[in-house]
Amino acid sequence: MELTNYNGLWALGFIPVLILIHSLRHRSVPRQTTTLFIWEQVLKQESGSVSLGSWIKNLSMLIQILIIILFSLGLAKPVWFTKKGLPQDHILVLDISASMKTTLESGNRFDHARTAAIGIIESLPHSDRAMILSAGTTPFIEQSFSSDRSALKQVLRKLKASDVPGDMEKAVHLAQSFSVAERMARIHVITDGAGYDLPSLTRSDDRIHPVIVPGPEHQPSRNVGITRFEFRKQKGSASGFEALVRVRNYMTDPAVFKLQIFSDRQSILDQKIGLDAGEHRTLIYRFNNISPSVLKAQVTVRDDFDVDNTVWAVFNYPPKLRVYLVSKGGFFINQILGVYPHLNLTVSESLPASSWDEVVSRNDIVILDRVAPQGPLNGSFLLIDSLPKEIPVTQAGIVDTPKILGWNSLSPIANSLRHTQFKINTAKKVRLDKQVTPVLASDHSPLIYTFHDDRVKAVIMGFDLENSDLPLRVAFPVLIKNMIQWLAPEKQPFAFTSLAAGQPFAMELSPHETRDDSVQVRLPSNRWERFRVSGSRFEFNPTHTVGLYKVKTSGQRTQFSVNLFNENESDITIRRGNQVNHHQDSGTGLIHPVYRKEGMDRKKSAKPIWPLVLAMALILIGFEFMLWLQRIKGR
Amino acid sequence: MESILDESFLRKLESIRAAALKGGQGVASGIHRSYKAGSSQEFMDYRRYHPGDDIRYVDWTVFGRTDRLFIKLFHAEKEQTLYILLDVSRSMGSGPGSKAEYAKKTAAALSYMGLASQDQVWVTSFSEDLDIARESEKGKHLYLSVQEYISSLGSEGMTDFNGALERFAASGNTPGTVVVISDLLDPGGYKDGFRALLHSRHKPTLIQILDPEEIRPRFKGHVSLEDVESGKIRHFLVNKIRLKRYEHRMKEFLLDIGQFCRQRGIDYHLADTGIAFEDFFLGYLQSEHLTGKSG
Repeated sequence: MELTNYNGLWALGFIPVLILIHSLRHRSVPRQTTTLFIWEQVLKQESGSVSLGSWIKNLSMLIQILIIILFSLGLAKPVWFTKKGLPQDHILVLDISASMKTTLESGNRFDHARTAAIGIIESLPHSDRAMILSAGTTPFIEQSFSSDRSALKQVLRKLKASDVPGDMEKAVHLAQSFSVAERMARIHVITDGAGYDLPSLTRSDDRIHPVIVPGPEHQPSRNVGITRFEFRKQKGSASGFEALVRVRNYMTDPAVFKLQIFSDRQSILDQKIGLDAGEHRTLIYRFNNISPSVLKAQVTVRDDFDVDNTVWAVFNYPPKLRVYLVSKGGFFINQILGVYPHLNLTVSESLPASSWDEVVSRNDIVILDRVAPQGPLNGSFLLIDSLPKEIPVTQAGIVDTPKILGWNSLSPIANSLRHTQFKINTAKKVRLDKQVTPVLASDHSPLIYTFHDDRVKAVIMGFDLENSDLPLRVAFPVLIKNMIQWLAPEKQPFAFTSLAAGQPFAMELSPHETRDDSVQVRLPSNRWERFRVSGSRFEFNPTHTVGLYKVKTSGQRTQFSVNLFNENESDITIRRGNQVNHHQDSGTGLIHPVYRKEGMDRKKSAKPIWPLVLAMALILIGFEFMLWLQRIKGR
Repeated sequence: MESILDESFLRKLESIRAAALKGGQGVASGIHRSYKAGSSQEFMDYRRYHPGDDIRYVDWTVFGRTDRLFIKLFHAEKEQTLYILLDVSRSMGSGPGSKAEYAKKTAAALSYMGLASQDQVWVTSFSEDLDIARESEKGKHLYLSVQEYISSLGSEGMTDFNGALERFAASGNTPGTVVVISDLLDPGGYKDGFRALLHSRHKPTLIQILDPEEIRPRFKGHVSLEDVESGKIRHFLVNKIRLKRYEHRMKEFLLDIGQFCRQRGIDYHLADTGIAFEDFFLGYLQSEHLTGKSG
């Protein structure tokens, strides 16, 4: 029997109180008598003996103490472990992290893990159920509890190791959440034990049963890998680039290997490098007169782990953003737009109606500064002191020197502007429709607001920049940058071109791309896959294979790389604490570490017994009630 | 000195005694007169000689005529000795209705009746030991002396009932009526004492005085009962069931006394101090007469 809630034992504290109450109740009244010898004869006759009588005298207290003990035990939620009979649940946690791809004499570590898992499934009694969890960057339920052996084995056969770093702790916690007191499941953690401290994870929990693959008969694994690869433009040079490569020797012997870097399949570096045992080195190279889009670095060495031998970096050139500014001498807006290097700006004092449609369709953003549109709005607009009829806003006059109340923190346009204050002489007093989102509020009217529907994406500034001190504030370029980023997110330079395995890839889509409804992705296996999109943001999650990915929409093409870049995962050496003292199970042939507790060998089923304990307590209460009635009757 | 018995009760006893003398068969005769083959000169009857009889009483004239031995039987002398043994142990003095007072009144009344009948009356007390320093009295005028002695008695010491009676029996007193007034609540028992009296050819009478609380206790709950004589203490719960068991055991105790006395010809009277003394004593005299023990 085991208690699952020790907090329930607080009720035992009532026992001393009960004893105290009984001792108080038994205070006797002194009396003198001439017939004590008669009383003694009476007591001697009672129930055969005096000792039995005294026992009966204390019976009530003993029963009450027993009731308290039983209640306390019930609150502690006791479970009874039976060795046989009841069906048991098993949770197989399979390590699918990159280190499981380590090659062995035959197959790789994951092949051994799969064999071990199938062995466990086959050895289970028919009444037992099993669940299969894969432990990658995030744990995943590959198969929920089932007693169908063939289905379970089918899932195991389809399962493969990935290139992602593992998080075994998260997977074990997920498994523990399924192994509740009412139905205690045995958790089989099948892993190579590399990259993390297995004993600390499993020692504290009897439910966990680690199975280490491969066994100690295998040779120690060897690995040299690239753990970091970055590429950037050289400062002050139009065609100069810098590359940073970090390599590490995880072996216990020195290693000599060849490092190569390719720019769009053309070799730009070929160097022999020697590293001592366990040594890591960071190398920086400078290249001139290249315009790379994809760079690849690789080490050529005979080791057991390929995932970190080749890495990629993608260099996406910022796309040009076409902006058309119609302004009647707007000095500040003209100046600030000229600062952004990837912005292709066209400035005009007027935009005739005849060329309106052409200008709107050819530019990513149209800015109307104190100018009314000459045609229907269809695209992305920044409207400064201009309020076209397509914007569902009702103008209700002019406000003088409105007092700024605050920025809408939920709006991306207000990023980094929370504490910004500035002065405005006059502004439009407006009432916003539900479709319009306020960005900056004043005491009388919203001052900046956004509108977004199927055809139009617009930021409206309800005041004249020339009539405020906003352009003189530090916040002005930040505000303009936020507006441009919100109006044309698809034209922003990518902040990331290289992802860690398992990390999702995300990109913004233009309204036109969103209407296309799908995005195509080419996987490292050179297979194209089509993904449906439902909003202006596309997110791609299955980045569990290292390599180069290409993304294609109706309006843009881009690419990104996925690399392991995880020093723990590249360290495929099974940690000393994880690999010592193995023994082979005679029944299943599996290798188990001996540091687990003996109790885990038993096949146990947990059955909650608090209802039984409660029933016993209630029976005792009934018995005590009868005794009490008897005492009342006797008085 | 305060009188133990009030004047009206003494006058009542006097009238009873006078009625007894006139009728010869009064209710008072039972306590001062018993018939026996005695040594007075008043001839009563003949009976056959048995070996061991005093040959001085053989009627040789009859022997000459009938050639058989007869001895003459005479009326025993009417004067007899009345011994009153009064229990003055601590148990007699305890309880709400004092048994000691009840016992003293009984002893005083008996003494008065005996002295008025010209009997030798010997009143003494006992607890752990017997007060043998007393001398017998005779004559009604000595009642005050007896009353003074009875009044002076306190309730002290433990009871050694058997020891006291055995000592009395062994003191060589003239056999007579021995009235023992006691509660008989002695764990050591009472039977050996009475056996000793009977062996010494005394005619014992037992008047047992008990308090109603001793016969039917009323208290309940957890008590520490202390024996008034030994000081021994017992803690226990007194409930309805135990009270019933006690009453049953007490009844057995009293029945055992009654049976013992009946088998040995001992007059036995139980006095409940819950009953008024006069009612008890007059009832006692009546029962002595009706049971045929009168002279």
